[in-house]
Amino acid sequence: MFIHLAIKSLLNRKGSIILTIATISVSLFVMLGVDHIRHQAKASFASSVSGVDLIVGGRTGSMNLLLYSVFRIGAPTNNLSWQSYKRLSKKPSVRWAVPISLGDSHKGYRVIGTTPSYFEFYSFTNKQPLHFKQGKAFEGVFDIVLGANIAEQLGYSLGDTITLSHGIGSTSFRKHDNLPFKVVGILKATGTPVDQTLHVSLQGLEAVHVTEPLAIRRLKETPKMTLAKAMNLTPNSVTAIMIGLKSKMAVFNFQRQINTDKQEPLTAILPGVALSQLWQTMSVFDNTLRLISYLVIISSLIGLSATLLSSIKERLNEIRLLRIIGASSVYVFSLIELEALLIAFISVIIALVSLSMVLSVSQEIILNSYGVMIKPLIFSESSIELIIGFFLFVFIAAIPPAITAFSAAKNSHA
Amino acid sequence: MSIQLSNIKFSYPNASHKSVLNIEQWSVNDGDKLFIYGSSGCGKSTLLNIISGILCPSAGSISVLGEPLDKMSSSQRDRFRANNIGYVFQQFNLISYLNAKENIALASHFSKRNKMESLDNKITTLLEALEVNEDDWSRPTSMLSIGQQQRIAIARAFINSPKLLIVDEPTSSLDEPSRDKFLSLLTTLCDVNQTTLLFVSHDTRLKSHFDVVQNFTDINNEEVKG
Repeated sequence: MFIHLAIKSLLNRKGSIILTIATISVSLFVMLGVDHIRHQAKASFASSVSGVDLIVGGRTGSMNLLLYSVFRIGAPTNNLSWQSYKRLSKKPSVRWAVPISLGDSHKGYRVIGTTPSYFEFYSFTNKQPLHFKQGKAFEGVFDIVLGANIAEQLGYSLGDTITLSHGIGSTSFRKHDNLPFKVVGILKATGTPVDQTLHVSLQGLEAVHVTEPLAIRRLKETPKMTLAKAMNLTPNSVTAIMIGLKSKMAVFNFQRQINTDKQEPLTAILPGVALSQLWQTMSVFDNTLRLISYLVIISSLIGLSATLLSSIKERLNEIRLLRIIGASSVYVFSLIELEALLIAFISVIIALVSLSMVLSVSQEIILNSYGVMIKPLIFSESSIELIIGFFLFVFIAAIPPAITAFSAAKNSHA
Repeated sequence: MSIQLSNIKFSYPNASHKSVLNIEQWSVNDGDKLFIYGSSGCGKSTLLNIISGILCPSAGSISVLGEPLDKMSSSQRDRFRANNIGYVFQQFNLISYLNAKENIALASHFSKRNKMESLDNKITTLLEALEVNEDDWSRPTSMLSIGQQQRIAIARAFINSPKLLIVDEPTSSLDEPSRDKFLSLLTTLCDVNQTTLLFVSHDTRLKSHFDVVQNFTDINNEEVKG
């Protein structure tokens, strides 16, 4: 009867209540959305690279190196020489070293040149290795392996041919269309920048940059050339090297060795450290977003309080009547609180449903345009905490109108 | 004795110098149908609020149906009122967004004494006895005529079989035929339920329907000047 009374009372004031619910739903949507995307972005971000102990590049800033080697953001400032790669990979503490070369693209997606061992050693999210959905790693100079999103977005399948463009950006005027690549493998989705990347061999990347007409013609005649036979296509430099060490203990020592290398100016970063540094630099932005979402919630709750408070004046007769038929003042107080909590409950449901819907619809778009994997499921620990906190604030916001009703009930007499 | 007052004094807390009620001795017998008349603003409604336990007297003792109201806590008085006293006002007797049946059921909800299994039957019986159109039982009461609303208010007041029914100017918004209809239905129900009736009005033409008639100024020694 208590809940029935509260529901009927709310229905009686449909107009203002629906508007209040709309206001609160929107603000909850913002708060929960911001929180969810924050967490997902952070998780997606932190898991973009794992199992790599050091990333080595030419002398540059550590943020910059991280951004272009892992996130394919920005342009590499310096390359490092092939000799340095050879030298570092032979150091006794190094278990594996995978070189990568950047600079070309295909329809706006970055192309990375590397060795087949990339697929063996590169890993993401708790050391999960890369898996092939179809096909296998490249073996020939003109073989290409696609990230999951590329294959899906551009509709490529095994056996298709692809030409690369020079430089980054989708409207490059210099295309390497003399020498097409054949798709030999498609990776499973990872939710990391790998999904947005095309992988070719270093030799393949070198081949498309050959300018001598005779050499180009020779290359065109041998589209099935294997990597082993392409000795003359060894690059002079690479963009970065991903290194796995035999012992984690050696990592700081090895980093210092590289940073103070006498033969070539190099920079080595610990991806985990650099990732959290990068995240730190974004924390101001992150906190501002959170603060704004809280302020939005608070203003909507003040609105709720005002709506309920102004309704009390119109409900004095109702309150007096409830008292006469035996309702206590506490009952009247609870009735107002219940009404506020019902409004809050409906708003939470609306916000959660619409947020999940929007997220599941926009998941693709966010992944494609920002490379951030957003799960549509929004019941994380922190969102539950936020919702519980929200109900607490609703209870507090409803105290002024509930107190007004309570004292009206106390002093109500015909 | 249904109601017994002795040396009751009352003034509103926000105007404590201005005494509203001063009643030395006054009582109502069980089963009486009592009519009290007096001009508006003379303190009649205040007296009714004290009898129903909504207000507490500033001094003196009051017992209703043998229970000392002035010695009860406010929540005890709330429960006592829900269980024993029916109340009908001049207007705003019903919660406008509930229908007739819900209004009556709500009154029963607050009375913990008799959890009726056949609440629905009892509501139906009352509404039929009060000649409320069946079509109107499930409509929001704000859509009904004043006459209908007042009859539903009586049904609401009787749902807990109160021993005391307080009626405060219920007929002032009714025309003469509906007023007579209203009074005859009311007195019949009081007879059937053996309910003591306390009827307050400024309209002395109604007094023919009652056993006992009193002028409020004879009860209250305080001269209240509106």
